Amino acid sequence: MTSWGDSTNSGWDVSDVPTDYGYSEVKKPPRWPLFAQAFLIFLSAFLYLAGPYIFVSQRLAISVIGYLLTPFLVVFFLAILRTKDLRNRSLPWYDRGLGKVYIAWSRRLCLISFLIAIPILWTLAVEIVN
Amino acid sequence: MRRHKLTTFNFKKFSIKVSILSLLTIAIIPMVPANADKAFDGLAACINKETSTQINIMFLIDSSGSLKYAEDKKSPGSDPEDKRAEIIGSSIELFERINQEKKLFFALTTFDSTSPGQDKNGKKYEEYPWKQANKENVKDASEWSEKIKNFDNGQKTDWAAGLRNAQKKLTEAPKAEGGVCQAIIWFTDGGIDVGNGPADVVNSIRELCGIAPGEKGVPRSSLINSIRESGIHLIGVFLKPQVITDKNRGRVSLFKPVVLGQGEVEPGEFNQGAFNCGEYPIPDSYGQGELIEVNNTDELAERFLKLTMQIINGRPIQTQCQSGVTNFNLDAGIKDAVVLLPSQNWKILTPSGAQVTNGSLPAGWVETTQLDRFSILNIPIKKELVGKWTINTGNTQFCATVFLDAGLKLRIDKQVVLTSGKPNQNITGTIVNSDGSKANLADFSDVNLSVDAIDNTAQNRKLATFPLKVNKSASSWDGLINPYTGATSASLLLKLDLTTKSGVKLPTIKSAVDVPLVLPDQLCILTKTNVLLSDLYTKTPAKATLEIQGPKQGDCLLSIKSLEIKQDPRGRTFADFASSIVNKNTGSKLGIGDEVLVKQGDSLELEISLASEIAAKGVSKGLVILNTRTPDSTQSLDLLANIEFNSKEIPPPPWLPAVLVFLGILIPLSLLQLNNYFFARFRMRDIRIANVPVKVSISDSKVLVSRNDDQKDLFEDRNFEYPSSNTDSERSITQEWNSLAVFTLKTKLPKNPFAEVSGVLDFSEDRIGFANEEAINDPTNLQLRAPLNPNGYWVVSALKGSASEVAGKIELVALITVYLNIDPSQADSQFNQLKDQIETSEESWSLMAKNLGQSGAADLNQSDSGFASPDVSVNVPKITPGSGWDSIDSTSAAGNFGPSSADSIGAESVEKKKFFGKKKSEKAKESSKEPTQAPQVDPDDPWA
Repeated sequence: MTSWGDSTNSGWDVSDVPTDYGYSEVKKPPRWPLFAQAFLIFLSAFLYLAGPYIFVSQRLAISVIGYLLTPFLVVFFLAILRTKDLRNRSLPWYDRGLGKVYIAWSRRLCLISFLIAIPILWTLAVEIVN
Repeated sequence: MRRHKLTTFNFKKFSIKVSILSLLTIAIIPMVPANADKAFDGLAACINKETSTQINIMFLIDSSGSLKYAEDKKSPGSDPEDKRAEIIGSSIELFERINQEKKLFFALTTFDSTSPGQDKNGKKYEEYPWKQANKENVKDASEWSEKIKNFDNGQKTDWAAGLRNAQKKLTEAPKAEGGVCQAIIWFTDGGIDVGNGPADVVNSIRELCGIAPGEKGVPRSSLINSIRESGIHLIGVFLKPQVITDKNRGRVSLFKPVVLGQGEVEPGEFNQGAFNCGEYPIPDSYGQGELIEVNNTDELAERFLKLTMQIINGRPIQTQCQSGVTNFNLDAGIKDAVVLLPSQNWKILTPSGAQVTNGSLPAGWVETTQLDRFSILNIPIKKELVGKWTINTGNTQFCATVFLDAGLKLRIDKQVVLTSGKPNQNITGTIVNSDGSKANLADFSDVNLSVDAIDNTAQNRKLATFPLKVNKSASSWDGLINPYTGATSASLLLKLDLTTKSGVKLPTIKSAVDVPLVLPDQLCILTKTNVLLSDLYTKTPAKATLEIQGPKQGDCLLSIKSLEIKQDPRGRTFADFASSIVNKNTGSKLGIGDEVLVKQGDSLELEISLASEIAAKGVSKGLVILNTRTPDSTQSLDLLANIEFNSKEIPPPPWLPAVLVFLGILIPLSLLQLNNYFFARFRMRDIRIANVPVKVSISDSKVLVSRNDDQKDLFEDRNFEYPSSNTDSERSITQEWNSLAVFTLKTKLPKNPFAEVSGVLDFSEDRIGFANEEAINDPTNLQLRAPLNPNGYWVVSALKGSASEVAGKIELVALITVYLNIDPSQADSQFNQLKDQIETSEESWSLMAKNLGQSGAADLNQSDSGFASPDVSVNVPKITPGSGWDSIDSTSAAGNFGPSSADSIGAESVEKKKFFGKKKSEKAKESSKEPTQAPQVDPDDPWA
């Protein structure tokens, strides 16, 4: 939904926007924080699974990096997305509905990142003790 | 003493490593060629070994569904006609010939998702038990092999499961009196497939090879290493899949490194490039690998038959072949010829001019096997058969393959004993016929003999070759060699190359020999060569004592040459360990190369200690190489101790993970909430505010809103004022009209850090109203939700008791407050939409009018129209939170058009829900039916 009426968007990838709002362009919320979050989650999972075999002597460092990636950085991107969404709401031609959808997805990704943090923290505990 | 410290984490290095790993997926790394025929040579050498008495061959046959159907489950698979059953049956028949020389036992099992394989119902396929390859058993097995046709319903292709079972079966083979030669003939038709994703495959590869593509470090213990270490030769027969897709290309390419030890992994799910499976180069004392790749079942038949012949006779000889006609010479000295004929209409022209065909075999000639178009002909060579041979295969495309056997064997003299550490030692032996009689080498123009010294310790030193002299007339040989030290016997491989008088080079005759190694009396002796260290923890090193005995004659000097880690569960190299060696006799530390004098009859105890800061779980294996020499350096010898220790991780105390998880989750959550706290401000930048007093007339659910002054339009640009500068990002904003508070906007911090920060609107005590946001479900306070960015937000408020009913019409005065970021080019459109939204909220207007009540005839023309004068607000009866807005004393509210108080509470509660939004449960119900993005009323979208 835009400031001037209902958007036909029903999901992430739908970008066709009616042109009869009085504005030729509809400002959309940024997608890159979501992509960044997804990438960070994959990177963290990869480091958790394959890291100890690639960086044999740096498991502690890998755990710390993994923890910084998930959830810290992922949460950081949620904050960025929210801030941008709020700022964009000043624009009459901003697609507020899509902004809400993105924030909802961003929150889900944050939740996943918190789940990933648990085994990473366990490894961190083992490494600290050893 | 060498001490290695844990390297500190280097972010730059880390980034470079990550980048390189990414680049590897597109980089092209040249393929490293594998050594050819190593398994055949190894197996032949073992069979020719004097001390070997038995050969055990295990057939491991793929039973996955891909043999029947391709990936699409419709197209034919790699062997839809089940040719493999006949092929395997026929090759088993050939074993009989080997069995005549040495006992040959064989067995057969299958593999797919398990081993033995299983059909879709989970029923295991039958296995063929160990049997000796005599005539009856071979015939029986050949008939049994028909069953293989039905073994093609498996769901996966788990290589590890198959090899594990084959290895287990080999341990269950009949016991031999002497040495045993072992081989697995492993047939498969596709890539590894163990689970749903690449992670499962990577785990399986790790189990197989001890390391996965792209990983670094010392390999972990692996199935393939254990197979090779047991001396089992692995002959991989690969029937290429009909279609190699991007998906299975990487998986298919893994077959080569698994079989040969090294190969290139093609792009796909794994890191592309050269990949070593298990220890590489494969130590010469281990079982070797052989890879046979075929494109179809026809090639499979040919290669399977050749494979068996190659085990018996070695490589085929080079022949001249043109248009299906093969020419070659048979010279004196050749005892047997075996010809693989690729068609049934063959004709052989012997040197005597006789023509032999399929139906006219001379006496002694035996056609042992027939398989499709192939047949194998065994020809004992007599004097009259010496000369030029011509074979017409009857098909211009195919050539005959000829294997020749001189029937010679290499023997080492029994009295040969080698001394460890002594250079240039003499070895002697003879060349004999298969019946043990002296060989006639005069038939050969060239006789070359050499010996390879094989390192049978874990050091994996390179093969060293020494030429030997052959006495043709005496059929004997002798020469000088330097055997490898470190073991109790020297492993040697004798290699005889013969060239016949007409220049035909016969395949190399190989024979493995073990010669006892005697330790010299002048040198130190290692009492135990296998040393088990104590368990290794990060804070407790693994320790053990090496016992060294002094020499029997004179004194000796001993030093530590090197320490090596050969296998590790975490891939740690020796550099990742801190090592120390202490002379327990003196208490002094011993560095690499430091020498200790051990006197005759004395003993020396060295405490070896290995520590690592890298935690690991599992068994590590390594080597300690010591050097001993006489004080005058006339004799020197390497002593070898195999070390083994178990690495263990200290489990963390239960409170630590709990605390870490608690803090680890709490800190980011707190940061998120902190972010919410700073985020909880109204964003008023570029927003202008209009307070518009209006007269409202409501009749038949029609709402007419008009200004209370002379302005024609409800909103004009001049009505909008900029707020004072300090309201740019406020937590609370009080909206005033005529110096009196109308309502307050406040931010509300959610309890759940993931929830969204929102604003709430509180009307002043004497006013009620509505806005284009839903109500917050709060039973004690009448609150409305307000957006943090109030662009487009409007609020209608009116004094209690300011409504009146005149001629069926409800009339009231109200104040409309609008927050708007005006786009100058679209201002009119924005104003009109606002007006439409306000006027079309009939239900909200009606409900507000009802709830307002009537305190007397309102003067709709008063100057501050619609706004409460102080007097008016004082006269308004107070409403307790428990009562509804309409529960004002009905007697005092003369002319009240609202329902009675009792009714009004019930009705009002229903109405309020409609007006101020839906309860959560109702919302949840509806939201499930609504599209995710465009709800009918977006609570956060004031324009909705």
